[in-house]
Amino acid sequence: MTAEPTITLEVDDIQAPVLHPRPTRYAGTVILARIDDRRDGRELLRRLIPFVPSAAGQPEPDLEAWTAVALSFQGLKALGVPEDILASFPPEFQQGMAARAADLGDMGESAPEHWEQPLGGPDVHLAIYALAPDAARLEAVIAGARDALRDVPGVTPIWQQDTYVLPNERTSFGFKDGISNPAIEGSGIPGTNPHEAPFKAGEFVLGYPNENGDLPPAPQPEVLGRNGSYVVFRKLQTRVAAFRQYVRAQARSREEEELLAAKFVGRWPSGAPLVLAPERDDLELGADPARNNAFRYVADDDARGLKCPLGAHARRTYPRDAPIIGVARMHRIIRRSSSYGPMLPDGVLEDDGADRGILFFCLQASLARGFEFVKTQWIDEGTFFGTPDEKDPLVGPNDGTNRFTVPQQPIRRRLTGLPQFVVNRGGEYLFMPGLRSLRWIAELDT
Amino acid sequence: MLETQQEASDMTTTEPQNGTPVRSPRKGARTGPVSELSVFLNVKPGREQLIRDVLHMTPAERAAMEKAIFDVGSLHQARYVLFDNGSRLLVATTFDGDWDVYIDDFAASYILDAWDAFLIHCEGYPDEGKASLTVEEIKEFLTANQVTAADFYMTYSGVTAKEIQKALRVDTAFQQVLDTPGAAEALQNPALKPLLELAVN
Repeated sequence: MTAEPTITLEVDDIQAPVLHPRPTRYAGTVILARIDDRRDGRELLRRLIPFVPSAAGQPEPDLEAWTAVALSFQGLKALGVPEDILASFPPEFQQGMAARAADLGDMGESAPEHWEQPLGGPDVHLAIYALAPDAARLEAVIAGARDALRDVPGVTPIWQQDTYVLPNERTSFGFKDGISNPAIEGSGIPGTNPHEAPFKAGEFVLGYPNENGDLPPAPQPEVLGRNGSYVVFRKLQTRVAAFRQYVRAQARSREEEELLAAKFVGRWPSGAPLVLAPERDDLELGADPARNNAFRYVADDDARGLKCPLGAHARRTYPRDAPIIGVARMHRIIRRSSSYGPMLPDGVLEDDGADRGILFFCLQASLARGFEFVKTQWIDEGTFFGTPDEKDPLVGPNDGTNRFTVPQQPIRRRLTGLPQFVVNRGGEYLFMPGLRSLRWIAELDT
Repeated sequence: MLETQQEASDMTTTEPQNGTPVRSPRKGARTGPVSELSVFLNVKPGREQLIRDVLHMTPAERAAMEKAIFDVGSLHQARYVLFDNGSRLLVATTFDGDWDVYIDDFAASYILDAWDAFLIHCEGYPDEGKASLTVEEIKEFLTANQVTAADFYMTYSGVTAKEIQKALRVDTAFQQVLDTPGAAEALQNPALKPLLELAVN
């Protein structure tokens, strides 16, 4: 709880995606692997480490590529990390995402019994997430990891999902994403909202004080936790046709349809925020990184949500300066998601059966205070802004009986009968160690 | 650092297990969106009046606090009861949301600043105040002295403080409408039938 002197981030020990935003255009892949033999698992880590860049150097999101390595709790166990050390990880990480499903609102179609195999199972040990500005550079960064996986016998790839930016540089729902990135003290990398004060590194990286001046809970010994970050990975399937049908049915014109869809998201397709462009999309604003995230809600005259509804997806998943229960800054997460699957062509309202959506990735120093809080308090419930009955209209676990209030003059619009537009196909909690920590694990002798 | 408050342990729901205290439940009872928190504390000897002084605000201080509480709009009520001849303090409050997931928010908010001023006069909490504690230690201190209600009932069930505030604003506006000439005629519009039914008294 005491003020700390300015800290120096060990950027050369932190994996690149913790501090470096995703490129606007990208091609990527996620590979999950099972470790059958702990010595082979460590050998794989030794061979992967040279291909895992640190966050050192000036970030140039549209030029750089990275490969990141993260481990599940089961993976750390499979690598032979001793029991007493395993026990020093926080309980939610030890349990894993599937065991937390009931608390996380992963019910119905999103429940673990319906997850894509092997997600949520005991075999997901190691994850490799590679992202590059294009397919050629992706191949260059992933080749080393692929060779290592092929050559080391006791480690088996069990799942792979390619991810790539759609031709329109938007998500499957049709909206630009990856816009809001916080600044982290000591990183030298600016955030995207000039009105948002930089965050203490301990909100995202272990080993540094957080916003409350405390060190985030970390596994012991220190070398294992320091410069690491917890990763949430979820394969979120988007029901794009259902979303388009729903919005079309509520709207009397194409303009109203576009406005309603933007009210769900909190931004226009270009990425222009509703707070700064309340009536129509503004392509220049959406494309301008200096302006497209430069806003607050109350300070920009939208306390009542007439521009951006209080329940809009982007507003509720980070309410900025809006009056809510608690303090929004305590629950900031770093988003590093990417899209998968083909685009549903413009204007198509019938489902084509294709699997599409978002590989959701977020990073934080505390899963409980980061993702788990955002999911349970901000997405699955509306109590935090005084409206318990309203879940996130876009990504919340709606079941056909839910509603979404859109404030407007002269009379608010209330949308009812919201179906579910996003289904969790499975995921896991992972730990993305610092590079020294990866070497420490690779050199274990148990 | 925090010392263990032995005297308080018999008031909590914790049970000694192998001689080590078991953690209290993480939160109080909840009904709909509303949670309750009741914390029983022992007053450090001779400090009762200091607590009363802290709780006794000037009208300006009280107005500032009430505005802050109203703006956040999640607190239903809070009570501070000195009992057993001023040797103990009950902090009892009801609020929207869960207690345990908001502990870090609480520690970062003005509420802890306000509570810190009297908690320093309670057993187990350091005189130096929150600056000498981690959030985890503050959480442990409060939950170790917290007793979950055996029953918890709200008249306005399933309703947040914000919704109650809104309902009061709507009624104020409705009364203004009724006091306006022509209101009876305007309320004849079929769309206003539910309001007309509320207009008779």
